Amino acid sequence: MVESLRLFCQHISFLIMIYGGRLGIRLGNSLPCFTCPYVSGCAGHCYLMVLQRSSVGFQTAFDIFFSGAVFNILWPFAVFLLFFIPLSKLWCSWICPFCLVQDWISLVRKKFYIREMILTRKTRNNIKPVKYILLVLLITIPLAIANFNLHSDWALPFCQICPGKPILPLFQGNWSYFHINYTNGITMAFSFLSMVITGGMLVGMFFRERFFCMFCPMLALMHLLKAISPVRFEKKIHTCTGCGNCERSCPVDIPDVHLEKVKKNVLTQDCMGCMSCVEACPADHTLTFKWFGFRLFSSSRSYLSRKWSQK
Amino acid sequence: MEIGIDVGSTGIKIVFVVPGKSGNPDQVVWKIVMPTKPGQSALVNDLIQQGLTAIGESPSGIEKTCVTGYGRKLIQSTNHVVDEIWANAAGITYLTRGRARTLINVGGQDVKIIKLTESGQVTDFKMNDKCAAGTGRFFEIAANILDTPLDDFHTKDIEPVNINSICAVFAESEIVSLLAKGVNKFSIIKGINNAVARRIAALAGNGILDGDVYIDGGPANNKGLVESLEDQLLCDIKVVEEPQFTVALGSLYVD
Amino acid sequence: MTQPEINPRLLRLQLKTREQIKKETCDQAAKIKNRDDYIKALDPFLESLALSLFPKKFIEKAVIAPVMTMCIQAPMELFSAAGLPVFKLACGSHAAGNLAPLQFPALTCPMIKSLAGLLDPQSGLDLTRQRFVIPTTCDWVVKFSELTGLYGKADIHFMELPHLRENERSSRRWLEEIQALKSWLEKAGQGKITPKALHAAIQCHAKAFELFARLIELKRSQLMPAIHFALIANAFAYQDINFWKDNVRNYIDNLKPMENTLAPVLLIGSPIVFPNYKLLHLMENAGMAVAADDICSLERIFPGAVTFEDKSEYALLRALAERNHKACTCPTFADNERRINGIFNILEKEQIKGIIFHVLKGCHPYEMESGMLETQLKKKGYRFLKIETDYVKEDEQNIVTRLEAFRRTLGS
Repeated sequence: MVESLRLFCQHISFLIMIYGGRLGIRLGNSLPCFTCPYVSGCAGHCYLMVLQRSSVGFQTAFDIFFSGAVFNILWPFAVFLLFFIPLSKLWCSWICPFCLVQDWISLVRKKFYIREMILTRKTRNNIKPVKYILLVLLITIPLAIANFNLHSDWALPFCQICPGKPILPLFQGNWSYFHINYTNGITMAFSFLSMVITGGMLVGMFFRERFFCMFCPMLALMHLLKAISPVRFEKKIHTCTGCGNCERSCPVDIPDVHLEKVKKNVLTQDCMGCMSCVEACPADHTLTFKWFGFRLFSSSRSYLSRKWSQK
Repeated sequence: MEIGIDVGSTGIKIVFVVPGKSGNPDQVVWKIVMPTKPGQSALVNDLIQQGLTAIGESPSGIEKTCVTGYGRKLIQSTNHVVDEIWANAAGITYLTRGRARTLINVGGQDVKIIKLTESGQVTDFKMNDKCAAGTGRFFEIAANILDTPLDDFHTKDIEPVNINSICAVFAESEIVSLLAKGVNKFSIIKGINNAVARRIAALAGNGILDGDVYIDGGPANNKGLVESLEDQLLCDIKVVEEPQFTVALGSLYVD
Repeated sequence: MTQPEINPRLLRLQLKTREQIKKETCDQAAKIKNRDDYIKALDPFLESLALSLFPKKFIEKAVIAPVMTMCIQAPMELFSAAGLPVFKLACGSHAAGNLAPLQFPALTCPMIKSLAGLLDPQSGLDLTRQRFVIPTTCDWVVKFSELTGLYGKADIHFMELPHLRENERSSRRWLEEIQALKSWLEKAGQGKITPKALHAAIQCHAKAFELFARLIELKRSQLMPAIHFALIANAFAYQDINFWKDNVRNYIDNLKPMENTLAPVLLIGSPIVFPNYKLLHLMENAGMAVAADDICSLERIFPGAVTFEDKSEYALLRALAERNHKACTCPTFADNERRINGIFNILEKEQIKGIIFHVLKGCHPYEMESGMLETQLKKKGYRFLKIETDYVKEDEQNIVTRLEAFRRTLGS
């Protein structure tokens, strides 16, 4: 079953990503998932941090962009693409360790028969731009530091508020990022914000699956680049009867797959390639994940009837 | 020699055909139409015997017998049973050398509109159900009351009356009362033709007619009806010669 | 309460009608038993269906009084979880229609008419003590309880079905209806329905769904006759779910291999209910097999699959609600244009070229959809035949002619 395969894959990659460094695994600094650099002994670093750093990211003076040194910025991006292109957003649901943490929290909720918090389509539409705004901010703030004399404590603005920073190091026994930094007003504000966001996210993640992913700027970045990846998520428009199973089973309740009546491409901005919609689709070959035209997984009634009689 | 039999709801039609040799067209050597009566099987056998005597053939000369029409399942002594829709299509295709694309069949009890290909394959058809309105039966009733043979149902320029009843049986009493009012007979006839044409047009809807449109079945002899139909369906309608035999003939040409 | 005096003529009509229903049932059963492909494993289905035409007997035989329900919108899982058996109000008996009250319009849906006859108040069945769950699907169903005089007398729980499926408001409203049904069933049945009990019921039905999917596959590859399939699908509404599953398993185990020489067609349109298998028999005689169908009394008795994210009461009820609303392609929905997609899905998968649309005279929703489907299907090159009929036998000859001609249009 695809779901168990995905969970297995996630767990293996979690072990590698969080503890792999101790075994000498080094995957570089440009991974398209939340392998948090604050976890010591992790196997690689989240590309979002690189994006915000000086000399390799956007904390760089404008004149450098027009010099040969821009190569320093392009190089990590090229590596990022190298990782990103073959798997596209499958990184999210199949590899990202922070995604697994969220799934664990949801699992606890499910064990207690607590219902999920449902957001209306309107609310969800209002949340959608947030991830792009975050992405823009995590580029413009470093630019401002390097060019407009913004205080250097604004460095790594996203990392400072990212809930991954305090939460993921917990898995190596490090509680130290749960703190308020009293150095100055900026650090105080950032660390306070971080705690509020982390607390809020933890509550959110408990009541709603993949709560954080709705805001994830990495997802926004990947969505902007999805066209260059061979991963496609397609829907056969003329065989969908609109049963709504896909929307309901989607961890982030994407309505577009269900409602789409024109376009073949249904890889929407919030989609993370978990394929639970494909698992829940009763129409044969209507939803399909493709890789270079090769069918990765396609919906089928017999698969569905088998899976759900055991659940 | 081949025999095509059409056991229709109101009439039995039989044709004797001698297949043409080396490219010559087939020849209809004998044909008959008889009103349907109880005991169809015996009646058909009698008629075949009659035909054989008329042309001086013995039963051993019969190579093939095909039967179609409502009573097709009742006739045992035949080797081919086909439904009348395909028989009809095959018949009209044979007679028009594949020119017909749409065929309107006005039978004794039903009306069919058949769409066909050049080779006589039916692609679509419509057929009225239970009700006899707009069928040959309607004309028979009318001919009876008006005491006018169907061949004289052709009317010239005359203002038609409006027949309001759709049902054949109700129309009967309407005609009687129109006659009692002293309405001109031909005016009534034209009214009847129009009423039937409207029924057929309603069945056709607005999508099914295209290409060369033909009409057959007994009532196709009624030129007045054909004119009314052309008026209603807004197209030219051609009539084959002896339209009541198309189905019987066609039963021989269904593959 | 004293019984009002019954008109002697009415009494005779009742007796005669009951005789006719019995005869109809026996005739249909005999017809099925005389087939070459008949196997004993069909008997339990036949028995339940025969009993379904005599509601009084059916209720007397039941250990717990069943709830009467119409259509497929009330989720069976909820009844199961409440421990209440169901009696499905669906009837294919022509004779039963004779007992329908006078206030019925001339052109009434034959199913509604025979149901009214079946529930004839003089049949000895105390209807005021019966419980009904009626989802408001088509107009006939909406007005059913008024027309039969049940409204205000019997305990009727209406479920107001939103006729839109794709917007959030209607989904929310329907979910409320499902929650209300749950509360109603808790009162009517054996108390609180826990999420655990609900989940168990869903799982139990999911197994039935899986079995049913196997049956559908067997039928589509023409390894079982469509008539058998119709019996099993119809009987589902009258048997305990576990009993039904056992019977189906037994049937599959005993199924005789058969030769398929018939042209596969897709049958869609108005429901086909025992003993009105006229069209099924005629189609078979004309050389066509109902390889697939899109009929709410046959393949669509499960309108879709129940998939849920977690086992909380909310998630389970929502899954049930959407399965019986969004996934259902009943023609009474206003945004039903995607119904054709399910049909395309079957046609493509099973390589079927012909579609027969069955319309019961007076069944307006299907009648309305038939034309739209016809245009779309013909545009794609499929053959389409509409058969408009009711429960009478007199038009068989006319239908046979059409079916035979249609069979030929499909080629060999």
